[in-house]
Amino acid sequence: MSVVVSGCSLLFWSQTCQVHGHLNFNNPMPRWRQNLAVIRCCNRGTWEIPMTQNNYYDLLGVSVDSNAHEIKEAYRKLQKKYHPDIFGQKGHEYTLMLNKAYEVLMTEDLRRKYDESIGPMRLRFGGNNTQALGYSIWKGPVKPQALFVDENACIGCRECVHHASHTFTMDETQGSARVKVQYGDNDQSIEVSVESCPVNCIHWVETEELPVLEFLIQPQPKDGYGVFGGGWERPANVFTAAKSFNKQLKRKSTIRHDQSPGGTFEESPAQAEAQARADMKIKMEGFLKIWNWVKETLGMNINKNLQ
Amino acid sequence: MATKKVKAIGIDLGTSYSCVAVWQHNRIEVISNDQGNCTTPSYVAFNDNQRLLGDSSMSQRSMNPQNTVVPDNRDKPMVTVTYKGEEKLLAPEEISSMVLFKMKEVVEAHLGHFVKDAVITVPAYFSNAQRQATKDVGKIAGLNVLRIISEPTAAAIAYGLDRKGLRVGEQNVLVFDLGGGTFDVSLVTIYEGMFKVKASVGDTHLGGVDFDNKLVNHLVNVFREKHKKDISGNAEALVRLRSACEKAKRILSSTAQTTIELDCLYEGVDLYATVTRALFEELNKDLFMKCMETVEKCLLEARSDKIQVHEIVLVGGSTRIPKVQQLLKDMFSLNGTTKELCKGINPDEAVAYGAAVQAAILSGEGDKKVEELLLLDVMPISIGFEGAGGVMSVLIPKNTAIPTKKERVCSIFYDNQKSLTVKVFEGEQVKTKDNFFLGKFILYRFDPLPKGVSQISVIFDVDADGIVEVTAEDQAKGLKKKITINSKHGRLSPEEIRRMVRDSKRYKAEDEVAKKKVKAKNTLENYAYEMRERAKKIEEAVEETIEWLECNQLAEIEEFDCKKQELGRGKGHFITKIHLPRQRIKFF
Repeated sequence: MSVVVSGCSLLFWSQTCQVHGHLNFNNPMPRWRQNLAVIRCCNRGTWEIPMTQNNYYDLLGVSVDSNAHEIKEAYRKLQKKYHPDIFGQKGHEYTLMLNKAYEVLMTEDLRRKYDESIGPMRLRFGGNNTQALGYSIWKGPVKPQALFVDENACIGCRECVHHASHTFTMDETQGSARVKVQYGDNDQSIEVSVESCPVNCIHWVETEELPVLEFLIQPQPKDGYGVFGGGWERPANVFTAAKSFNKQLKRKSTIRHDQSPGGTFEESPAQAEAQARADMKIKMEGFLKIWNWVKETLGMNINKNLQ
Repeated sequence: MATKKVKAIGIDLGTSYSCVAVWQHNRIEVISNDQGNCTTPSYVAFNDNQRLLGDSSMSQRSMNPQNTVVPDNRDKPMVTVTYKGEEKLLAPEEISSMVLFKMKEVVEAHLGHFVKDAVITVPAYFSNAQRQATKDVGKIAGLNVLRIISEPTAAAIAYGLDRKGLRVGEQNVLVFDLGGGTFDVSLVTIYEGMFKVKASVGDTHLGGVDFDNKLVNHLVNVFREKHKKDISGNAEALVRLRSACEKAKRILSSTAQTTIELDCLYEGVDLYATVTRALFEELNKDLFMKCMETVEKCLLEARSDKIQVHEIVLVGGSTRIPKVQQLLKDMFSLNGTTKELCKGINPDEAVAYGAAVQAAILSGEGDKKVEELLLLDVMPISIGFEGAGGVMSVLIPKNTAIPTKKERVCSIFYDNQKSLTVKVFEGEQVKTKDNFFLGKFILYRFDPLPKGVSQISVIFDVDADGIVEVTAEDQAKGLKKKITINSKHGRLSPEEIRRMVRDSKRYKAEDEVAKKKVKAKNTLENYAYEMRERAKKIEEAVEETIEWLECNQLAEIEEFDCKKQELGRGKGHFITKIHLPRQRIKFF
């Protein structure tokens, strides 16, 4: 048994940072070293969590990088459902918020300020709008194996970034490394990077498993419980969580497959690309629902922030 | 009159003409009045015997100009009329309520049962105060006003419902509403049954009446130059002239020229003038260009370009003027492509049609087609409170989507200030004194503090009906004061409304008496004519018998008896119904 310190998260209302640790069981670390303990601490500015439990994106049910058309579509659907003319007086408060959210997100400068105010976890990386938040992209054709960084284990030593800077990047808010471009560097540089990792947190995984792993490793907002709530959470053992996640995903996929009518047709390259993008979007939405299910039913060992 | 299910109706309360529609037989029907017209003049007339509403008030206008009135939405003056020999002072709300009452009667006569709930339309530029006043008008007329909506919005609903099945995707519709006394331009986005007003701009002093006045003024000048007489001070002459000019304007929409002939217009002098369409267009050139400037302003407010406008819907009788249509068409014809105006909708009926749709939605009737519709409305005018130095501090700008809620934190102005007065205004001017005052309240009992230290939150909450609720709160002490803006200032008080409701009922009762009197008179007249006819027949029969006697002095006994029987049969027939001639028969 050992203590491995991960990058620490900022605390609500706290100006100081504390050491956070968790116990890793069954961590596949073939070259684990005893007596290795690195303590990392950071002092960063605090940020305000929006006073309302949901932010505008959650209210509208859109992602933080939605375009104007998507926001407009969502707004209209919800108005059709909850406008006081249809829903009665109970719809008044909801449509108040809806109109406010729409006004802010549809105005460029207001949206920029709002994105800043809801915290760095929601910010887009490097302004690359084509990249889904927190997910790696592929430089060349998709290969069977992909790189994945277990950020729970990462100590932020920057060795991998140093050796393969086109593949790995530092998540400054989390203090850990992650993959930004799969095979962004040549094979030799990548190999050196993986070998140089002192805690062996870089893994070769099956490409089809990559989206689930990358989704689960991202911190998700926690439900607030008064002034003591808030913050971010993610599973302590991302590989175990991925197995449960995939089981649930497979179960839903079976149901969907049984219900959907059969039929095949040829797709043009543009159609295939659009289909892939839509599939990814649907998968991301499904991930969030399954994640909530996993939390509720399995009582996962969550990496909770301590005060 | 049997009571059936109560329906909600839509009323287009116009400056010159009004129109009413209702959801019936799974569609919207525009209801004709007792003269068979879909639009009813918004005139009310008073004479020595009775009050006249609708077409009958219009037809006697030239003979009774002083006592024929129309709702004035612009300046809202009190009007004096002579009714049954007495002078009456009428508020504009009372006159409007009489028009609404007439429209209520029209639809009740058609449906065969009472109606209560209504959606009423107003010009787009109407402020919240004016909309609240219109609700009062409905109350005076005996209606429960479900919603006040803007005329262009109602027209867009009519357009959207009419064309709904043909369209895919988002449509930007420019509603060009040029009526008798008002002019509105609105840009409305229609998408899958949802109507969102993006901008509305209006001109309170532009409409068909103004076009008529240009022609009237022109002819007054012609008359003066030709006959050295000034008729501008003669009310009767002016009414006749204006009526003729309005008629000429309509004719000029379909012909190139017409003549105006008025015998004995003033001091025995006739007026004879040829008016061409070109002359009419020249006289009104400035007003037409003003219309186009308003269109530009609307697009600017909506942050839209002409190329983004998919359809132009014409509303209001004055949109039939060819020059107006031509200018609009030219404005939106870009890159060599000609933009056609939408003419599938009757300009006179579109607004009432749309109001009836909204009425069906709010009252929960109508079918799935209507249930899918939703109107997303906006603030018609900016609203805020008075800041330092009398500056208008806008909290909710014009065209903000409603429902909406806005908050502003402000500080006291003076050291140790103990109370704060919040004055609420609406309007677009920088200074509050140039805007319209809605109401005020005072927050008391501050702790003594230096200026700028105390923090007061002022919150404006507007619901889907456009009702404004203002709250002020001292954040430190938790003091709170709230007021629902009823726009008491400049509006009728509850006592005045009650008095007007009573007056309205009395007018109605007196109208009933007048109707009965007319009916009784007609009955007697018919009876008298019938009597005269019957008397003629008796006289003929008697004369015939006498004539026979003179020629048949030597007839047999049987013949004499037979003739007597013939006359007796006639006598018996007459006697059963008429008693007066009996004496004459006996005499014979």
